[in-house]
Amino acid sequence: MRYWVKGRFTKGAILGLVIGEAFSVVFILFGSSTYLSFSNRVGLSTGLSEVALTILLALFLVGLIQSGFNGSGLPVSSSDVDYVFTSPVPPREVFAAKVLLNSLTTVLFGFPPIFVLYLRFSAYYHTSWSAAVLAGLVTLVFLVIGLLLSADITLSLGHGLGERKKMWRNIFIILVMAFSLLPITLLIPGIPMEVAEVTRVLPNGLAAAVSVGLVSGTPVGLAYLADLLLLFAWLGGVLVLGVRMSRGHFYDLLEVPAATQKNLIIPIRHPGWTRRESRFGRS
Amino acid sequence: MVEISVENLTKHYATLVALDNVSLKIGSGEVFGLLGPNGAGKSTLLKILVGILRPTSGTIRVGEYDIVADPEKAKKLIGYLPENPSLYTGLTTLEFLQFVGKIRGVADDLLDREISESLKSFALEEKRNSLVGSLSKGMKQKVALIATSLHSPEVLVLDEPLTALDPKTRVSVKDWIGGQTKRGVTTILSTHDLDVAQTHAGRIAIIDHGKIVAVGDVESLRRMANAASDARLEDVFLRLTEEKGEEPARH
Repeated sequence: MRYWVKGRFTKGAILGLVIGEAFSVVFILFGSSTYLSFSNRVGLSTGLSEVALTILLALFLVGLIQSGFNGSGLPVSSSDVDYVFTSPVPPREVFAAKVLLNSLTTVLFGFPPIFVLYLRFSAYYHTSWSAAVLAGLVTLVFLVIGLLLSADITLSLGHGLGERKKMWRNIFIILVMAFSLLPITLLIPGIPMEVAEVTRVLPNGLAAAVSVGLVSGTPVGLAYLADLLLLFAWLGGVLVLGVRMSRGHFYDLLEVPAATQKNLIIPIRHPGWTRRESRFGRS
Repeated sequence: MVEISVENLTKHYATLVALDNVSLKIGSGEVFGLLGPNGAGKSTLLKILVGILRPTSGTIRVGEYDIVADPEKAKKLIGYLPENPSLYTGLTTLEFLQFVGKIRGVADDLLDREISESLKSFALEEKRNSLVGSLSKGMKQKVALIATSLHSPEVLVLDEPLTALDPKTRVSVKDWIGGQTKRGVTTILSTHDLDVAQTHAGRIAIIDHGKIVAVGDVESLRRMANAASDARLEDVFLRLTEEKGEEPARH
């Protein structure tokens, strides 16, 4: 991990990230202040804050799912192929290290603007800064779930998974994406608020419900604890799935297509192959 | 001392047969050359051997371990030099070698000693704290060679170790290969350089279109090719691969 982190973050990259962080914090402050000012004027409740956050997190989730199908859920460099996958490191450790590395960058660079957002909310609702910290941590759990789901999708892309299982995978992902984005239909006049309730079983809905509940000072009840438990159940589920699939030693992830197959359309069915390895046919 | 056994190894990529029922036995301590034209399947064979690719059928055993069933135990025995190795360019030479040593299970005190001695023997001490990305191609190849042998493997798999190197570096690499083979390490050497194959390899397999065309020492290869007793390996190679000029098997 230490060497991967060091290899990834050059001085220039760190400088760029810090500048980007500063901009995102300013943007979040401005955006959240505008939203809260607007909701105060028109008398919107915390319910709509929760829906807004659900949609925002849904967009993250959909983006991570898309990354997974593009093969970016578990990024593997040619250096990893040459040195890590030829070493006797157990595949579950490689999986864990890769996800941890992605999570680390997500936490390092996602937490400040998220924390600022919840601080702004907690100031508005007159709750303590510790509620904002907890809310931020819950949202980070959601992001880690998304990263693990993305990694699992990438691992499932190869030949190792049967056609039937791939069909169920695709159905499951489509349902997750559809239900995650369903609250957008609230923009249509006449659509009942209860539509947003369908997301309460999905990671984005659960994270939004718990986070907004924390910063708005909503009393902790059984439903709240159930939401938290279900969120961690999602985390456990995608983690266990990823560890199990990594037992395949990533062969499908590392597979190299034949250079002589000129008409092979790689990105649609087997995304990421062109990025993986040097082309077959050298020797 | 470790033997390598390849039995009925086949590898398909969709409709293309990259390896077609390849069988080989490489004895303990043997230096085994693998020759073939571009696209013959040499790298595919080596990548299956080191556990990067999974065979479609057949087995490869490194010592007593099957590379598919027991990859971690088999990989402990292998030192792999890829063709055009991709080093971690964001790390310094020292950090890269420490990383490789640690993931290969080398103890810290032994690792430090091995790295220091290796950098000295390859005249890379002053590049110890330089980023790998700033090294020349020849230096990178030397660093890759050091990384290959840090854990004192019992099997060396070298894929085109001399490609695109300047003459001075080629000499260093050839000397290194010679030193490793003298230690009795089982070595598979895939190369286009017929001089290197002839000098270092006891037996040579010629592979073409995914199939083993011929296996043996230089003398027996000459007989198989019906070549003169003093024929160059290059002529023997061309005869054997031209005779077998056939379309790759397709399914």
